[in-house]
Amino acid sequence: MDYAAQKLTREELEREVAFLHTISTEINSTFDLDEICAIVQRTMADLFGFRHSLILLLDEDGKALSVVASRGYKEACGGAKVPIGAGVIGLAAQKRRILRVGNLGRRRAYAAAIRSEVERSGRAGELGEAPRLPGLPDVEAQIAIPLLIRDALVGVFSVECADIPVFSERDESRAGVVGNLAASAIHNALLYRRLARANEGLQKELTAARAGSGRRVTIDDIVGESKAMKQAKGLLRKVAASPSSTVLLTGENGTGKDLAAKAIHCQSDRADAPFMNITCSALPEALLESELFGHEKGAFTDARAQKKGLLELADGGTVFLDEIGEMSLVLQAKLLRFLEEKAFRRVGGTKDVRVELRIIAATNRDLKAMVKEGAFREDLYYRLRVLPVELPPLRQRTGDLALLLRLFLDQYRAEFRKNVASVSPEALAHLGRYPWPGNVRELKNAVERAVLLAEGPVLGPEDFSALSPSGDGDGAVRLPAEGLSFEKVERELVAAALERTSFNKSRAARLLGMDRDWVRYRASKYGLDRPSRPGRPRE
Amino acid sequence: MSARLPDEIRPVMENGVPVVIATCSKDGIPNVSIVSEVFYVDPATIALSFQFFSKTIKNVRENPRASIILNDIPAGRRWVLQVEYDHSETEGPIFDAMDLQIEAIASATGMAGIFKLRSADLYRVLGVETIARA
Repeated sequence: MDYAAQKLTREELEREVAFLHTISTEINSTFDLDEICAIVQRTMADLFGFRHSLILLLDEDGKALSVVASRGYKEACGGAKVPIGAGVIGLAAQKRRILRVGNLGRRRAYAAAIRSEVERSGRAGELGEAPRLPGLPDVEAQIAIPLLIRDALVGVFSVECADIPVFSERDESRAGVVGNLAASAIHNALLYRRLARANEGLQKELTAARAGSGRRVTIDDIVGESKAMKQAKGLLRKVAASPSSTVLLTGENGTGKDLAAKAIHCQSDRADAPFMNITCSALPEALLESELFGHEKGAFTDARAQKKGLLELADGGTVFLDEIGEMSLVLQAKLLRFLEEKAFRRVGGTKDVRVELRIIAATNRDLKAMVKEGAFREDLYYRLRVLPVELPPLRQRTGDLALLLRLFLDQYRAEFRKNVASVSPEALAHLGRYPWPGNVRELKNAVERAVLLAEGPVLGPEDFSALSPSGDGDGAVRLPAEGLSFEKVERELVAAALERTSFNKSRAARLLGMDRDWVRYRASKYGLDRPSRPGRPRE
Repeated sequence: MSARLPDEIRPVMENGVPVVIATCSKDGIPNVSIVSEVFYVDPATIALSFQFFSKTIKNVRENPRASIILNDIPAGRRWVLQVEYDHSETEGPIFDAMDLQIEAIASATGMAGIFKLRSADLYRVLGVETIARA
């Protein structure tokens, strides 16, 4: 090897340039980490005879490096660890400096002599054990190049040799150049791998969302053979098949508007695209706006990154806006603009985002009356009710009671592992007289409670005693001669309202003509939490 | 009196271990020692690592003249340098470069913590000659 020639001849210069061109072209042709490592090692071996090389990457905890590629070794070194600071490789990583050492055979002999001197002098305790590190056992010369992106360590590239005493300064320069190229290529490959994994995760989430949060529901899955329900289901089928971009579902609480929305989606040609839903009363205006339309980074204090809203995430699919009557007039205007122009702006954004999707809105309120009161925009009302479908209350389809009872009985019997087989004819008659102000949801809750508390295989009227057939009676409140506990009455009213609304405090508040905070305070005061179910883990 | 180190001696310094250094006390008692590292600083200066050889450093601080033999193994010859101790450095770029190199060698030979640079001793080069290996 020519140690003296530090200045390059023209031929050498041309060869160096050709080498740089070759390696930079090859190394930038891929984002695959294994391929990049192979290119680096092969090029170094082919062009400069560096037959033994290791590429190590920094572990996530930053305490050690792991071998990800090795070339020219008898035994595979893959996965071998080098602690930061240990050996030439670990030291190059720790100091962020290229290290070139040679004559290691003689130096080992010298070190061994020093070691025996130290041991003979009784100071053997000062000697540490030499760590077992990957590489040639009889290495003579080594160059370790830290792979750095700015000042951040990515890993180390190490070349070794057993048949020459030292690598030259030019070898060091070449290895350094390759190290720089390798550092950025490896850094990009790692970023690419991270993005690919994130993308894979998102794809899975999207697939799950497209699958309709678990399973697909069709209109035939909506239980009901009564005339009222058959009419409603016929209308839902027409709606699902239509290309209309808006649907309005109306009906009392608990009539199954959410199930109908999902069924429309799953039975439409949008079934493979996402179905997203949101309850407008569940979020404050600002949060609802951000959830629906998304926001740009820095749009408000906590907006640390750009976020896509439901409208964007559901592109090509369906967004179900439950309790649309609770949406503020400001957001109604934004929603109307979206329905008219198929475009919206993220909160804090300046550019329009265009998506194509179907909006299914639902409400239990009289939107027409709200329009008259000025609480709902008339233009939005007419835009939404292009295809209105009203779902009948349970009291108008008591013929469906038996079918619904069977459905819920089977469901809760399996869930609670209770041996409850049927409902007695007396109980069925009792339930048929009940007005069901909470509709199917109330029936479902009643069956759940009855199965949970049942002591025999057949549910009788006593298992549904909480349901008084007289319903709300004439609505008059009578004060008994002996007086009453107002707190007790208040507790029972709040409990009944919560139960009827599946513990939705906003809806319970509306039933009682109070505001949500009033209900929330009393629910807390009286300990009226949603009952936990046996066998279900607490969140 | 001074001399310039030729370029071709630089790889010999990297490759020529062990290096022999001969010094003499102020009373005229000679000492020969083995040095593991000789560093090229500039064409007129070399640096030796002060780690263990306390008699050598004691001698050159009393009597600065010393002779160094470098083995040019591939060429089959020896280089003899006449040098004069100038000063010692315990910090700065020369010290740091030598310290890192010694730490690297210590790491490679399982002597981390034992091989430790105490100072970089700088010598002016007074004369350079080559002799064929006997």
